[in-house]
This record gives sequence, C-alpha cells and structure tokens, in this order.
Amino acid sequence: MRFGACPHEKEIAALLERGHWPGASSPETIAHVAACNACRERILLTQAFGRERVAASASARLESPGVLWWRAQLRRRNAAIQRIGRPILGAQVFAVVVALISAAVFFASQARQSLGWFAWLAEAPRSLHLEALLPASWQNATGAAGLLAALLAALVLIGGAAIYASSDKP
Amino acid sequence: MSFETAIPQALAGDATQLAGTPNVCADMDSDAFAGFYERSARPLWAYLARVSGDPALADDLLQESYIRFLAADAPRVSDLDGEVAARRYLFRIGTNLLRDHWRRPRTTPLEDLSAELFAAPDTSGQADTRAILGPALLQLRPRERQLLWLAYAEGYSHREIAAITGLASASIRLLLFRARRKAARLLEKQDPAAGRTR
Repeated sequence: MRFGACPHEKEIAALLERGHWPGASSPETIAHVAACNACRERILLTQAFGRERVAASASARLESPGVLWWRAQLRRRNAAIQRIGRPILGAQVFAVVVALISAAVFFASQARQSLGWFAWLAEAPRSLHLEALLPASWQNATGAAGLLAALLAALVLIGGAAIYASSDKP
Repeated sequence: MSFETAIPQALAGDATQLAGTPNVCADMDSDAFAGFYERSARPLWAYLARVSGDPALADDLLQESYIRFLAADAPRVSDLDGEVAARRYLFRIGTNLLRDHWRRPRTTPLEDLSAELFAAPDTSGQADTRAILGPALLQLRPRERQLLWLAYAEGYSHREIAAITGLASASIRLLLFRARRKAARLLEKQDPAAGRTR
C-alpha cells in the first residue's frame, strides 16, 4: 500500500516549491489535481502551512546571537571542566581507598604491639603527672584505646569539615 | 596537566567525540554563528511555536536549542550542505526538547509561577496563534502537527523527518498520510472554499 502516493507527487511538489501553482501549471496537471485526492490535499496543506510559516516567522521574538554564543561557550567550558575533573575525583577516591586498606593491614599486622602501645598510653598520664585531670576509668589500656579512637574520630571529622569548607561546590 | 592547557584540549576534542552527529560542527566563530542564527532562527521558532501552541515556550526552547547546538559542537556553515545539515540538526534538538517538555510532569510549584500570571491573564500571543492557525489545526495532536509542519512548512523528505523526529522512516509515510487526511478534512470543514484548490 502506498498511502495516498501519486505519480504526480514530485511534479506538484516542485510546482508548489517554485510558486508555480496554479499559474504556471499545465492544463493536464490542473485537471489531474481536480481528480486526485492526494494531490489536492498536498496543495491545500502546503499552502496553509506555508502561510502559517510566514506569519509565525514574522512574529518571532529573537534573542541576540551574541548572548546565546556567550552562554554556549560558558556551558562548553563547564562541561570541559567537569570532564577533566572526573578522572581526578576517581584518582582521589582510589588514593583514599588504598590508604584505608594500607592502614587496616598495618594495624592488623601490628595488633600485638598495639596492646603494648595502649599500655604505654595508659602509663603516659602518670608519667606526666596528669592523673588528677583524667577519670580513673581512662587510666588503663581500654580507656587509652577509647581515648585514641575518640581523638582519631575528631581528627577525621575536623579534616572532613575542612575539606568541605575549602571546596567551591555549592 | 594544568586546567589552562587541559580545557582547550578537551574543547578541541569535542569534534571527534560526537559520534553520529553530522559533521556540521567545526570552525564556526561568533560572526558565522550570527549569520546562521539570522537565517535559521525564525523558521525554528515558527516550528516550535506552532507545534507547541505556546510562543513563550518556543522562546525558551529556541534559546536552549541554539545553546545545545553550540555547546555540543561548533557548526560549520561554510558550504550550503553544511548549513542544511546544521538546520536539520537544530530541528532535531528542538524536537527532542519539545518531547522532553511534553514528558515532564505538569505540576508547577506555586512559588515558581510568575506574578504576571496572577496579575492579568495575558494570552495575547496564544490568541494570535489560535487565530492564525485556525481551530482546525489545533484539533490535531502535537505529533501530527509536528509531522505536517516538517513536511509541508519546511519541505523535509520522509527520510529527513525520520532523522529529526527519531521515528522509523517507514512509519513516517503512514503517520503523515493519516495526519494529512485528518488535517485536510479539518481545513475543508473550516473553510469549504479551501478544498477547491486555488
């Protein structure tokens, strides 16, 4: 099925495009159009939409091309920066992951000695004569480990806040 | 690598990265763009305004179309074929933006509505559109208006319409045939004299 196609379709389209319909059309073509639904519809719609196109184009309110050019350049620049920033962010994430794994492996391998460290830490307030300033529960290996963990957590929090504050993201 | 050197390199790389995009986008400076804009903006606006039925929306989509066009790549308009391809590419961007607009949920927060909407129902642009387009064409579905506009106002072939709308080339013929039938019937009903070809 050819859906309303007509052998004169191209001829009619060319006449309409050149503005030769119906003035410069042959009597045979005019007679054909009178009898052909597809061609009649094509002419009707081409003329209607053509008039509409002219009217609509005249009422267009256009922005200055310079503004659009500038905005496009800005968008291209931002896209380029994002594209460049993506691998850098990936590298940063990779570095953090490697550092965390290394730290975990190190602490695991040093687990035995770390008990000795905590004992030394527990002794530290006494050797510095600070027993009166710390609660008694903190002056053993478990308390020292908790104190160390709290100090590390505070360091991570402050570091994170500092990085967030220094980044220019909204 | 510093940003000063990396950004120009990344920008220069755009032209080769857009696979599937017609090679219409290179070597366009702001003057060439201004000329191309003068020649192509009005037809694109007419298409967007008449298919959407909303001149304000057409203003927005027109700007966005050109920005995306330029941001995707710099068009080359040195030869005629380049400009024809660039126009087709622009219409494709505009068509995609229209489709995105229709797919978007219609709910708008009250805070986002402009005060003018509450002050006075200024729909003069819309009224003009309706008056010129005629009630007949407003009875068509947006997709039908889109196909008819591209075929009969812009004179694009079925293959070009398929490239612009993203529909299969084979289905364009059938869809256009139905839309043409419907539009012709509506136009003849609106103006019986129009049925007799002038």
